[in-house]
Amino acid sequence: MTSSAQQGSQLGPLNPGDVVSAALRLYKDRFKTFCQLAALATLWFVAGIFGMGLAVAILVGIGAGVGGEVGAVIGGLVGALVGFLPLLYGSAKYYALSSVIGRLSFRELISQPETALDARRQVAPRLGQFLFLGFLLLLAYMAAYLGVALLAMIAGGSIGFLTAGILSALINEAVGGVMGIVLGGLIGLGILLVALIWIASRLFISEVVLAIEPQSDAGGSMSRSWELTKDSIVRIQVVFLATFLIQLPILAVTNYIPSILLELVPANDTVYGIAAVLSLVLSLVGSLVVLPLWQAVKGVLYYDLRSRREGLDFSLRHDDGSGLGTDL
Amino acid sequence: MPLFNTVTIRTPESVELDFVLAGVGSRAVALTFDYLCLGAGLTGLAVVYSFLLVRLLAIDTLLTIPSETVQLWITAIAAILAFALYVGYFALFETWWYGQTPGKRYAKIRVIRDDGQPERLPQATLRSLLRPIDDILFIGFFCVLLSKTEKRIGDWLAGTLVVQADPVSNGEIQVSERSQAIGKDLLAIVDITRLSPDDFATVREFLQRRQAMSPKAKILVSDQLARRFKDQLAIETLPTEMTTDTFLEALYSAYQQGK
Repeated sequence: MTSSAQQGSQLGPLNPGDVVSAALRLYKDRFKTFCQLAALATLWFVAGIFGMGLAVAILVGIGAGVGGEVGAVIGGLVGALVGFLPLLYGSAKYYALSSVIGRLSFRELISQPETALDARRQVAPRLGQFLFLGFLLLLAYMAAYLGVALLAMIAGGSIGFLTAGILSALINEAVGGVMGIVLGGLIGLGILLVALIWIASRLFISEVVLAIEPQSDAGGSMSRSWELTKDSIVRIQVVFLATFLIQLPILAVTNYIPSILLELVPANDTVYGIAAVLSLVLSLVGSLVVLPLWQAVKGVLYYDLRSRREGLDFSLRHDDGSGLGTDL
Repeated sequence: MPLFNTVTIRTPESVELDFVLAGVGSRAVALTFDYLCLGAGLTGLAVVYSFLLVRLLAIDTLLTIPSETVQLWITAIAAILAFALYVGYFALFETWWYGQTPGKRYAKIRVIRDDGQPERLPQATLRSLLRPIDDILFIGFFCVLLSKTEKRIGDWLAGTLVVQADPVSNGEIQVSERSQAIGKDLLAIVDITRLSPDDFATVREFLQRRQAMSPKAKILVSDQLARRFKDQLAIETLPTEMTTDTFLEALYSAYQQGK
């Protein structure tokens, strides 16, 4: 593994730590490109929200002019409906543009680098699919959350009650009650966390699949992500944790420290307002800087999983990359 | 463009050794793993300590010693043990396992000295004592990220490097007896030296990794490789009917026998 890394040929499957290091390296090498893409994506997202706000404001104004208070309420509702369009468009753009970063990282790894413009051109026609994928993922997470929360409540509750009962009988009611609540809560929370993380890691790379594989659609890329991640749950968890740990220093500067400072600012409205806006901008900058890291990790992970599950590196090694661009 | 930083060490005998540096990712993985282990140990210690303390609060004297004195002693011992665990975990593991802790072993990295020698107790202790300073405000993280040799402050002072451990071959290769026999036959009819060491490495890697592949992809890759090597060795007709997997296993065993 390490020796092939030296030769600059195909890497093949990577350690979880190396997935993160490689992603970080790709990010460092193409810092400007990745940041530009992330900035563009974030701008589209902000523009979507802004568009929605604008639509609501205009229609409320018109409604108020036409029919007073009732008109304003109706105008607001219509505005929210109309404003949904720019919001959806903005989110789809955000999603597609951030996936382009994953695609670029992957192409770099298979030694077929692309320019950002080329990659965007490849991804652009599938904007609708990205929107649909976002919708599907949202549905999947919501359904998973509901199901798992119910399960966690039942399991945590019953274990908590059982512990409380047993300990109350053995020691006393105060100890039993506290231990029961603590144990039940911990177990419920544990089940919730583990199950949600499991599902999130199975669907982790869907949007990168959609950005990379030419004939894929929203549903197809979800099942592809599900299939590729099949035997790699633990590995993905480790990648997840390591990436999370690495983004912490950046987020600490841009997100956490300002929000702590915000609490210390005197309760003067103007000062507080300025500080709040500043911290909002900073947290946007923070997520902008962190976004390419996650996307690059997804791109590298996609390469790693394809090599592991499908021997992608074997095929690339022998074809010298020619004729493979088509069946990616 | 190499994805991982490397470092070349010149030994006193003028032998140049190349090492691949561990990388931020692997170090983060190792750190997470180690802190989880350490956290478990410290939690265990805290549980034992509080259990003892609760018991002691209920009694006045223990073997004629006032309970309060014993409580103080227990507290002092627990504090020392906690410190010893925090420092000792890294220092002792890195010394005993030649520069590895459980986390580093999992992440397949190890600590070595700047001259390529294995890390010993002094270096391990120094790294371990400076760990809290590196953890404050992520100083160590930024040092690793920005310096060319990926050293945190502890590494600078102790004169150590964190490198990738030698890759241990992963996965046994099982070559069936039939494949071995076919390998012998192959050796008789083809010039196995047409297979370069790189080709042999490819065959070996495929045989190692095929278990993890999806069934469809396994057939595809195996077919691809078998066709390529059959052409390369100019084999017109195979000795017997066989699957592509068997052919590759036979090649593997033939190459080993031919050497």
